[in-house]
Amino acid sequence: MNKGWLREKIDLLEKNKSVDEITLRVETEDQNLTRFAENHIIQNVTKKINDVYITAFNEKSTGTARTQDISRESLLSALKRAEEIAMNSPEDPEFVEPLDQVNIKDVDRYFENTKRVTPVDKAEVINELIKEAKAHNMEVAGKYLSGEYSIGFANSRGHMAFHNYTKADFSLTAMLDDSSGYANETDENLEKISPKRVADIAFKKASLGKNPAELKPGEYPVILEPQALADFMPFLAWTMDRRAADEGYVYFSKRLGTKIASKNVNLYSDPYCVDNPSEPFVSENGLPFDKTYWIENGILRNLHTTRYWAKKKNLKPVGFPNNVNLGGGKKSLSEMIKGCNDALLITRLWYIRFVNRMDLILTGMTRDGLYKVRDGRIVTAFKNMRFNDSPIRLLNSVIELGIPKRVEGYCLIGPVFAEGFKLSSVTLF
Amino acid sequence: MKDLCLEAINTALSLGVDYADIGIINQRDQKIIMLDMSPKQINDEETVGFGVRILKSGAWGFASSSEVNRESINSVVKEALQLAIASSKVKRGEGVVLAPEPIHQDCFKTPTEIDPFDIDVNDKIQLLLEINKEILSVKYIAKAFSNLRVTRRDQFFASTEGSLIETDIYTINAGYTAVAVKGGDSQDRSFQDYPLNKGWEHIQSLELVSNAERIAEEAVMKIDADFPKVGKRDLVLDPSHLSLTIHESVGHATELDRILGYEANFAGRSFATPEKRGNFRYGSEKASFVADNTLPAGLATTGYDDEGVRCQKWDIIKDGILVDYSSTREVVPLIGEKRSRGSARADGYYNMPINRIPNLCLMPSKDDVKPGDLIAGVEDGVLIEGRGSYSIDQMRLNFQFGGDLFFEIKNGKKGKMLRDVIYQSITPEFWSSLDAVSGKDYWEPRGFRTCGKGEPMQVAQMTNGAPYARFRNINVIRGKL
Repeated sequence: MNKGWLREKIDLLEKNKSVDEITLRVETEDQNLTRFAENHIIQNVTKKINDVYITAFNEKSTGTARTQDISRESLLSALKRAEEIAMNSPEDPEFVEPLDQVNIKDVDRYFENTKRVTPVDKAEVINELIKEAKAHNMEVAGKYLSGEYSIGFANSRGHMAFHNYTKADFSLTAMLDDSSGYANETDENLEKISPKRVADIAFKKASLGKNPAELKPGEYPVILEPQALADFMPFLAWTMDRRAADEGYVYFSKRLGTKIASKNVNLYSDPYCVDNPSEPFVSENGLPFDKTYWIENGILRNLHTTRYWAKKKNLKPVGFPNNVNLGGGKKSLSEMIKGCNDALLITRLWYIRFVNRMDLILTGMTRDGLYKVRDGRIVTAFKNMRFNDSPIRLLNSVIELGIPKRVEGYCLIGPVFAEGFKLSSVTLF
Repeated sequence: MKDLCLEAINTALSLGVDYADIGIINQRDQKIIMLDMSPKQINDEETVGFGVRILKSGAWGFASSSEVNRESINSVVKEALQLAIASSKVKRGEGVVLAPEPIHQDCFKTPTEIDPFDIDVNDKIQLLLEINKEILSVKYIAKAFSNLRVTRRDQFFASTEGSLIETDIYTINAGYTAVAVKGGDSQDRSFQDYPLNKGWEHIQSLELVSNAERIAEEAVMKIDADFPKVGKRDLVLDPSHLSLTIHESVGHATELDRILGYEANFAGRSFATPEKRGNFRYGSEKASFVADNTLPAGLATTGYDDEGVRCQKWDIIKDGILVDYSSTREVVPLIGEKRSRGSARADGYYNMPINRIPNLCLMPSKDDVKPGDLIAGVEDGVLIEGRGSYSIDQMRLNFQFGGDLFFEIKNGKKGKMLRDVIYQSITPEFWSSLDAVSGKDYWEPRGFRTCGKGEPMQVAQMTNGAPYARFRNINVIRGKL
């Protein structure tokens, strides 16, 4: 898909429509994924999909049809199905017209070299790392993904937005009898990821995790590695909804403009962030993303706001974040550990769920490495623990933020040293 | 479709594969989401395509396309073969050996009384509007969410072994949530989503509208309810709640691929390792779990799984002892078993099937035990209804669950409403504390449509039926810091 293709298809639909207006949303992916586990490749999968959503607007009603067949007949059939729904649906009291034309600056996230890595190349890389794992008496599991993706949006008002990007993603879990370690690198540019570097980190973490002791539940000072924060912080971003706050059923109710975190906390989204770029518009409606501070110097500044709520409350619509960035400090993770007298080091969090949305309490487990840091070094490993705590409480007890690192391809986030994190029960490994 | 299936199989055979199969899937979904009185989503989704899985030199390759024609099929078969050849560079020993399965040439269709796609979309919308109107009529209600989804998945499957199977599966579900706001606090309460493989008759039987006002009132009552007393308490869990605890602590824990390490990088592993089979006490003698992919209206009742294995019924935990697993043709030989349990499922034509939870159910008592009988045996405890917060570690041991509605139990009687009750346990300890279950009249086939697993994440559906059940001395905490 490209802009020309998108224009051709919206023109086709425009000529054939029998409702007031239409929107066209297309998402494509062409990727190869090699998965490995138990020291061998378990899956090698290519996926090529064109996902098309056509929405018909009839007076104040809408209907949407989806197809993955991009032939003329299929698109016209989907248009007809969308129109039938719109024409037979009741009026939507929260109806919002499609967006007028607006210019969107694109973000360059497309790297030809990322497309060139073949399944054979991946197998060779994985084979070498498995040999190394065996030399450490470890078993490994992981994935090596590469692909190209695009999102496109067009409507009857001439608004059109298109973005394409590539992605390379390598992650690996190294396992010994009583320990494990995990690492991941994701980037648009294949050259920026290093499976060897990922594996070395995972091997080291697994080695450090041998003979884990049992920790008592309680509140502990913690250093959260970027991966653990990237697992944790999106849950905060996902609940930052203006309407839910105004209607009183999320934590952020009546808190806009108030201090909710330590002064050194700056949480923001920015599609044009050089170190963590993302899609520059909302794929569902073509709304451009701007750089948005959610928390600035500890003050809650913005909440994402739908176009309907913005219109009703005379606000500016703010898109749902596609990336989450936490402004950082000047220390690397190893420097932060060196400067720490006594804390737990949490490397990864798992199965995080809300316990209480009003208080923004989350629960989840540590995974693939929980260690004790004493006098500037890792001295022992612990069995994994369950936490019950709030990202807001954590952000209010920040002692130090580290140099941000890109994690999972959508978080730019540093390690954080915080005064206290509540661990409520221990597991058996 | 049959001709195209055979085209793929013949092409694969001509290329010298060890094994190949093809699944051509036509899936239609109607999805309606209502927020207050506003339709936020009225979607009619149709996805058509095919996936080809090839085994060559003991390794897998999988490719797919939405262009269902001869040219595309031949091209995708060749692509899948190249992927298998690449995989074969890094295989274990001699590579994948599939457990044998008889050849099947068959059709299976979900029995339905009323085809849900024959019901006008506007009638479905009006149903949800009526629900939300009832919810919003209750004082202190700030928000009403309701949803309805209807799916038909028509699949042709063929393999180089000679199987040729058509399955035509209908799934339907609806549910809603009321959000109350009062005095700066908020609570919600849901009519739990109740999916089954049935027709529109299932929606008609749910009494969705007549329960809406009660659900909304209970959301408001939760705000004024007391927090639980923290500590060891007895629990009585209703089927809609317990289905999730079963799903997480037994269903995922007994997926053989996970046990063997296939999902170690993300979805995780399991403590229920093969040497425990036949001797490990997973729970009390009351804990008997049967997997049954022939269960009428069960979400995994599809006639055959996605690698052509006939659906079966078998014990997973018998009288508290771990006896078997869910499995696929690839993993089951690795524990010395001869036949797959038929648990391979793919999310769409574009994903390779993986080992999924079957319809896995806790068996009811053979006696006519009523929920009230379970409550009568509790001096100090909590009755939990519906699902809330849920989390479990990656070995499926330490878990924590909330719920949707809670009542104190005092001296054998259901008492006042509670709020924000959370319980924590370790899987075998929890199931060993099970001391009573209700009879079959109180057993419900609750289930899930969006169980996530794999990389990239695939969703699958299964029923995890349960009776009411009583557990002794479980650690209860408050969902509050």
